[in-house]
Amino acid sequence: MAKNNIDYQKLSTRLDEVLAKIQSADVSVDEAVALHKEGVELIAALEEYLKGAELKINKIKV
Amino acid sequence: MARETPVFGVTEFVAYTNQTLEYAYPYVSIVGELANFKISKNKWVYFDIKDTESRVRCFGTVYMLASQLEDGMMVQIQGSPRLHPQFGFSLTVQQVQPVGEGAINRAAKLLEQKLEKEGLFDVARKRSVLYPPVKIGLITSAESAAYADFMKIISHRWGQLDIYLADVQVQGSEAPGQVAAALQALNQLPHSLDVIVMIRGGGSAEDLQAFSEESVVRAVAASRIPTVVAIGHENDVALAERAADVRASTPSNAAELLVPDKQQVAQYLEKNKRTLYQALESVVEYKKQQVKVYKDKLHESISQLFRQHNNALQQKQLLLHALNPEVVLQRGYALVRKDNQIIRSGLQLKKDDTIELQFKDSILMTNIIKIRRNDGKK
Repeated sequence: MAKNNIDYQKLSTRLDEVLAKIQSADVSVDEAVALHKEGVELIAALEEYLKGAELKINKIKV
Repeated sequence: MARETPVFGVTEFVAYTNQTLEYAYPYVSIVGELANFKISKNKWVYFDIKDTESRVRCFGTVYMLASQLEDGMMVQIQGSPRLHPQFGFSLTVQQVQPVGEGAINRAAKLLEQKLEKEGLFDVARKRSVLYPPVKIGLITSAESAAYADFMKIISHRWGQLDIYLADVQVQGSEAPGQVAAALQALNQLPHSLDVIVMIRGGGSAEDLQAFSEESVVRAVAASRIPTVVAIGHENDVALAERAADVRASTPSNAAELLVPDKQQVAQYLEKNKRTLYQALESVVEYKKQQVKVYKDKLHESISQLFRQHNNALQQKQLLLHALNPEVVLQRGYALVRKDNQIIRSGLQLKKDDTIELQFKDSILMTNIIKIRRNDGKK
């Protein structure tokens, strides 16, 4: 059974947000440090998701 | 000798004729032109089938109508002839379909127009598909190249997929029924699917016909679950594709549209690791710069303050120095005292007063000889 996909979309969207914020003009050092940490964790989780190559085929009767 | 011909009552005759017809033509196929096509009470269908010289009345129900029909079309009917007790001779039709490319194309065009008018193809109806999806319903022929291509591409691009496969006929008379049933079955699965994909590879117009059948198109439009449909090649557009939420040009294209390429995603993630780090670095660097600027400013402010005080002090020092009585004496002035009091005005003195004159280097005692006012008065 494939992992719940809401993870992927949520993680992916959040990563885009983090990247936008950390590259914006008005971010403090504390924020930048926190965003960097979060971004690294998100990327790790997404890379982990990609590694799981579970393609399952179920035949249904019509 | 009188020849013996049987004499019938009218009803008898009708019954007898019908018996004969049933015996001779239980079921007959006729090709001709459709005319006077009429539907009554949404249930009964009346039309004539004719050629240049003859015309026969036909009668049937709406349930036998598989295609859109129009006066002037060439059609083939299957039916039974009958002498109606009241209405005369007619054919009771069980099947009618357009024949000849012209008629078939015309029927297809009419169906397309009808469904378009109902709004089945409206862009506003089209829903977006979860990207990437996890649970995928797949309607196709499991033996087909389309299926093989689709699976190859999708498994290469992406893992984490739960595919629910409905193996159906994708051409021939059984196809529309099976495809519509598959759509229904997939819509009713307990684990709700994210998307239903319907694919079939290239073929002749007849091969692809099932996916332009009214029942199939309606089933696609009615699907609660968003649909991605790819039938035939790039240029083939089956009506089911028009009713779908997403039309892909080919089964391979459908796989590409459905999921990302995990290799590309991996590269993107790798790149963003660097981006994150660089962004953090640049923020820190910027703040360091800011701190340095403040430090310099502070330094400058303090130096300036210091200088100001120093200047002020120096000024005061100079002033003090200038006002120092000793310095005044050095310049040649003398201090005048009488009875140890400093005298600033000569008018305080009288003739013969004894005064003390303090010079820079000595003190003189002397008496006043004469006082002369500066303003000339006595």
